[in-house]
Amino acid sequence: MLCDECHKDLATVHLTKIMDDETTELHLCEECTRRLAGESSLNFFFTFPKLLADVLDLEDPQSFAKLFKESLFEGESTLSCSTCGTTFSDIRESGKLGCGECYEVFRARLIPILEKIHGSCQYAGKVPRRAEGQMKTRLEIRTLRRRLEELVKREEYEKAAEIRDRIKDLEGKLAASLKGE
Amino acid sequence: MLNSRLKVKLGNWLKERGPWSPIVISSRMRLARNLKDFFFPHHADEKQLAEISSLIRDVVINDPALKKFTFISLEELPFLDRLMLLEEHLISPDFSAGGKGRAVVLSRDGRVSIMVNEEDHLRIQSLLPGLQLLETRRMVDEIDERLSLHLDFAFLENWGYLTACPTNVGTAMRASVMMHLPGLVMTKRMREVVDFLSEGGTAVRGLFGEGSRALGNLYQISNQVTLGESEEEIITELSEVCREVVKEEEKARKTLLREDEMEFLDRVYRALGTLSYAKKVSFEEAIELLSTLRLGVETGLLPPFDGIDLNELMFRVRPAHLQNFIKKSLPEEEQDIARASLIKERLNLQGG
Ligand SMILES: [Zn+2]
Ligand SMILES: [Zn+2]
Repeated sequence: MLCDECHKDLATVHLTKIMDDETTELHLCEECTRRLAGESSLNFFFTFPKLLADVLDLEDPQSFAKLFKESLFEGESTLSCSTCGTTFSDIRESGKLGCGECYEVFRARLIPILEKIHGSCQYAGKVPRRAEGQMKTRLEIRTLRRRLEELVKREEYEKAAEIRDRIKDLEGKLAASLKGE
Repeated sequence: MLNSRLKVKLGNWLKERGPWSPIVISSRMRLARNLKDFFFPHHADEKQLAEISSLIRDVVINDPALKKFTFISLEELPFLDRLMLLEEHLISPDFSAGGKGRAVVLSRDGRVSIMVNEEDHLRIQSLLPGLQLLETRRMVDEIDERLSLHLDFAFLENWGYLTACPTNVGTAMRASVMMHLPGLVMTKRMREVVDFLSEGGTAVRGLFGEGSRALGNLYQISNQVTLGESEEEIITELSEVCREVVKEEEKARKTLLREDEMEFLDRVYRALGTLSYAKKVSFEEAIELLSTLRLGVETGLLPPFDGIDLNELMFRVRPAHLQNFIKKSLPEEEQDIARASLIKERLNLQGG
């Protein structure tokens, strides 16, 4: 199928837009998707969530399955999870992974898609109660760095200095524990 | 309403008012958690599902901090009760169909529910009237903290909390705000608002109905992001966006009154006329008409109905609630007749 925009290249991105009871289908080549979604390829990553929002229901794994199928890298894969046996094509079918290990096995395939949805692939949420040791410290540093950025943006330098000190402390702690290994 | 079998008080979020009511109906917070070393529910066999379910049951039963919660296996719950929970937004449509190893944990006040072995091992959810995302977050976080004393959740440093579907990985938190937006729909500004919202990383969809068609002008606005931002950041942004939408809805209502009051009046009174005289009303029709009536009352075109809350009635006309109310199950056509008379009775309409 040829691209609806340029009518030259092969369409690899297929979008369905439902708006005011009307369904519009759009088939685009990669080039035109980038152009339509923003000016540069960098913008593409930031504006894609908007494009996605019209077609994507995040609560429906089938939406993810669709994205997984349409993700810009083409071709089959024989990749499978040694823990649960989930294969690449299982995910294309169900939009779901089989177990926690799958996240590591399919990491390279997941990252581009999740980056498009979230604009980032770096966890920045709460530090779990059970987290301990170096992971706990690293997660805490990550949280504090984000808070620091926010405080600097709001020009609250006094509080920012406090946070900076705490980050230094934690980094010292982390370095010490790494040395101890 | 106190349902005997469920021993749970239902519909608090419908009867009570909250911040930014009545345009904001409710706030819902949902956390997904999975147990480490178990396959995700869709990939697990019956034995594993039963094991997961009993691990969770033991925690709920034995932790004194969780004593206000009841653990109910879905298999023990009759269909109509499951449908009630679905209409209360305490369980999901897929979950209400039942299934092996599935269970629901309910707080007695009906504000918190935990689905066991839905898409993820645990879906912890809280529901409050009005715009109260911070408070709903506090409620689910408390349970998350409590459960994680006893259970080991699947978590990786770079991915965060692991979920069956990768769209939820990270915070595994979905915050949703239910809003009644008839003004924006009638002034044909909804599309513009949807565009504005999706730019801010939020997803919008109709509560009932497919695609962009939102029955009763009820919309659900949720966060899209679960990676790269903290729970607090996500909630702050979503709350801000929702307050913006309320302001836009208020503006739209003023526009309706100012620019085409006669058209607006006509719609409101047509809704009143139909509900006063119709002998059969489907759920779809009822919710559309009640939405218009509600808009009429909220803009002062109609006097308030004595002692009846239109907010509640909009949800009470759904099939399971209707049948629970009249205490018997009915074929669809008889439901429509019962619905028409229920509305007439509750609104004290004088029609024939
Ligand atoms: Zn093209
Ligand atoms: Zn796996």
